[in-house]
Amino acid sequence: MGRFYNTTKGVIFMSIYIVTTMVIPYFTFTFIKNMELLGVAIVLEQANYERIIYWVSTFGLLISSCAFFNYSSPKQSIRKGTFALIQLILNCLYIWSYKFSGATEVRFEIVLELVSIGAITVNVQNMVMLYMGTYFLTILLKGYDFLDFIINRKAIREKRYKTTIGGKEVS
Amino acid sequence: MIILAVDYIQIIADIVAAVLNFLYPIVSPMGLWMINWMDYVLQFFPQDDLTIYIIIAIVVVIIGAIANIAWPGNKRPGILKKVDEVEEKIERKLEELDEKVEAKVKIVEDKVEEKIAEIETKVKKKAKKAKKKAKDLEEKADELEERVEEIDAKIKKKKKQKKVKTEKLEEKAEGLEEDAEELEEDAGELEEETDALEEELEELEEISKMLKKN
Repeated sequence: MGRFYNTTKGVIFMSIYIVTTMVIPYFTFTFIKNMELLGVAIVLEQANYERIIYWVSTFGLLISSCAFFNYSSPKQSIRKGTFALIQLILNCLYIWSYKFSGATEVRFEIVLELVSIGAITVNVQNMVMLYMGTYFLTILLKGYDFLDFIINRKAIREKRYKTTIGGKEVS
Repeated sequence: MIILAVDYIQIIADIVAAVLNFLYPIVSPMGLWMINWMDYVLQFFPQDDLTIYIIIAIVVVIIGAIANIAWPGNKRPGILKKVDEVEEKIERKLEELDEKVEAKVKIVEDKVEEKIAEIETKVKKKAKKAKKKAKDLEEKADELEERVEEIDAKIKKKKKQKKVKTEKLEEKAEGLEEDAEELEEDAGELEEETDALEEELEELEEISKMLKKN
């Protein structure tokens, strides 16, 4: 566990978060924007699309940067606990930004031969609320971890700085 | 009966739905609370400027990189080393102080023991003297008691003698009283005899006068 290892780990996880929170949602919504199903074009409204992409980008950036800080920090350190908690709260905001930007109630227009014949509205608000509830419990857990890191700081540090030779502790 | 892939999906969907339905009344209020505070917080987020978020992200990454390169966590930080050194110095000084205190305590203890021994010897001597004095006093007390007993016996004897004497005197007084009474009676009789004699004298004198006249 050295500098290079920490930084590499941070970069890897930052990349993963960039892909999952920014790249995949971007391509998904771009794909949905002009989706055609059985010859029927389902069009995502332009204003909705731009708002969703804006919030996905903002929170994606913040989450990815926090992920870098979190995963490049040493195990059981206070900074790791702090940024893990911040990252989790940002994750909540990220998910809720879908609702805020209108993504939880997406309206698709069904266009047949350049004529709009109707619209479909997908409402996933209840599912998001359920998801938020589980996130709340996760925040509690992370908060407990954070407190644990603060309270047992000395013990954690002593354990971490213990040098070992051949699996045996050397004081 | 052959279970198709679609059926599997349906079974999984049913299980997930059951779990979600079970958890919904517990987790949903928490979710509602989360949504409330997030709605409030999101008002303060800039909604048309991505550069701020980019700057924040870059700053966080740079700070994270610097912090985790400078303090990777596998070595004790320099500040902590200094703290350890200071703690070691404090411990050493404390040990030295403890040793000094122990040495002084030993010296004081020795002195105290010596004084205690001296005091004990003095106390023993005084106790011996006191015992001797007590013995003497006891002897004197015994003597005095004997004397007192003797005096008591003498007093008792004298009292007895006095009693006997008084009894004798009383008897004598009674005898004398009786004699006095007898004498008084005799005196009465003598008076009566003298009166009678005086009367006889007077008669004789008258007779003699008459005789003279005659």
